[in-house]
Amino acid sequence: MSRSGATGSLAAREARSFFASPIGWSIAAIFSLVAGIIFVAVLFRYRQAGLSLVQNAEMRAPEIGLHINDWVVRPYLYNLASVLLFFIPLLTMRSLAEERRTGSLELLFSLPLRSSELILGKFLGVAIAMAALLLIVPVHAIILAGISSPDWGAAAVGAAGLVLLGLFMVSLGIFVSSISQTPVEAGVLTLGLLLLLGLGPSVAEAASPGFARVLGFVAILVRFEDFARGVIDLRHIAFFLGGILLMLALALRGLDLMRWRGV
Amino acid sequence: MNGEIAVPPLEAEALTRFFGPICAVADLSFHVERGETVGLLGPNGAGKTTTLRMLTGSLLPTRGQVRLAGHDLFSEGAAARAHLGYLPEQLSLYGEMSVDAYLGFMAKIKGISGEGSGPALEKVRRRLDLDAVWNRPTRSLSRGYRQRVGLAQALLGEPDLLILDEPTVGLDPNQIRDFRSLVRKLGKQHAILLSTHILPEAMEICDRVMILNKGRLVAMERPDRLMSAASRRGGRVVAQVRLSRRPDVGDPRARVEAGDAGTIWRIEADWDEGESREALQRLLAQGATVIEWRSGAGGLEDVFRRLTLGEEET
Repeated sequence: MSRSGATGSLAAREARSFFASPIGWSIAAIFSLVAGIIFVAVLFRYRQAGLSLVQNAEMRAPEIGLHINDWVVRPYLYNLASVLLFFIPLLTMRSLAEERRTGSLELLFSLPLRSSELILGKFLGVAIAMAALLLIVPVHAIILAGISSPDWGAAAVGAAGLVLLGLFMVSLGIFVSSISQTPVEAGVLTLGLLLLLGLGPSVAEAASPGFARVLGFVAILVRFEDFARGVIDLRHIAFFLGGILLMLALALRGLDLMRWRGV
Repeated sequence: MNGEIAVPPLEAEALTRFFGPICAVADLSFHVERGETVGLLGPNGAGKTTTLRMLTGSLLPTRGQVRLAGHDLFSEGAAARAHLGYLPEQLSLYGEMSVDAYLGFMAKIKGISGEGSGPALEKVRRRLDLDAVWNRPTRSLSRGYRQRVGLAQALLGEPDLLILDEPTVGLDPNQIRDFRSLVRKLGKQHAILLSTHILPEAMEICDRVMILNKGRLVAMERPDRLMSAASRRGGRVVAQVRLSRRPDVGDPRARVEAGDAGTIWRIEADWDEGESREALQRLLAQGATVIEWRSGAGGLEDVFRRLTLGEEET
């Protein structure tokens, strides 16, 4: 029995189902539009900074470091990561909660499928959908290559970090979907948790430095910032990979809970 | 999966499930043999759905065991479920997929891939007569075809056991007839557990019926034996007698109504053979002329009513 075939089939169906609906295409279109706006905005800001530099005769570009990676690549990736906080819940909310709502999960549970295969299939399926959304990034990279020469190595580290961060968010969404009764519940809860992990630390800083320190460890956007700068920090990689494994393990427990409570 | 399995395709032992303090299913033990179709009957809330969910792996029991072709469902989950084909009552097909894509997907999940996939799909296509809808999206199918596709996915992999939950609900009379005929054919090669609330369906298709009431198994018998037991027990007596005064049948539970001209009386009562004979003798002694005396030999519905009202156990 080819078990990897079962996981692959589940992943392919999950990804296809996303793009089989007008909602899926709408989400992809809106994400591309938002990413495009961010790209144009950072380019515009870079151009404005360049113009000010030329106008100010006392300043010299090399000294102030008007580097395209700092002015375009880094803010572009960072803002895109922030946008993902809002889009990932739209991708993950349906995964298990929708199967539960429609009753198809009862049939899936009756199949010779291990819980780990089901969770992994769902995770990979949503990851493929996320990867499809992020296809806009290489398009922007090609445009950027036409007008400038960024440090592609650093940009690649940033892009890889964005994928890693996205996969962590997907795993969290799959876990939440496994314990939610409806897709809407899953979406709202995932969004809430991602906002807490993404924006929570900066908000908490103002209110309570102690609480901010606690949240600092799980501050996913702060950790991502290093990737966006082109820095490979093994602690951040370990955090995201460990986080993915933890979330998928929790999703397995979520399935057990479903089996205990009844689908 | 193969024809040489000595163990029963389905064995349930002391299956029990509590929801909080409420016992939904209590100490349910039974088995289903290959080539046997067993009906699971019971009023709403009797525990049928809970039982089926425990048998198909979507609900864990509080205690008890389920073995599918000898494999423990809870410790050897995937290996046990490889012997199971399930058609749930609320069948949700992935609407965006065509019938062939859906069945191909289910075949892969069941581990049928590569060279085995084509013949397996072709077999269920012919068996369920799905040619007309093979390339159509599942969302556009009629209820009858949806059930056929549901049964087709259950049959993929030739499982030893088929569990069908209310399979004819929502079908028109022709579809019901066809579906029952199909289930009868399948029953010769597979073990089938069929949940239904349609008693004639159980009579027609099943070799044995199990009646659940309040989570307990109150009967497990061949339908014809249940029927003959019902006949012995009597049933509803409907009689018309002529008498100048109100007849005394000696049973306050019996309904006695005045008919035409005040001399014809209609009597209705649930009596067994002895009670019926006694009432008849009593009426004759009062000088009544018996115009009609019908004793409805209790059918399966009568047995079902008695058992699920807690009057007796078989």
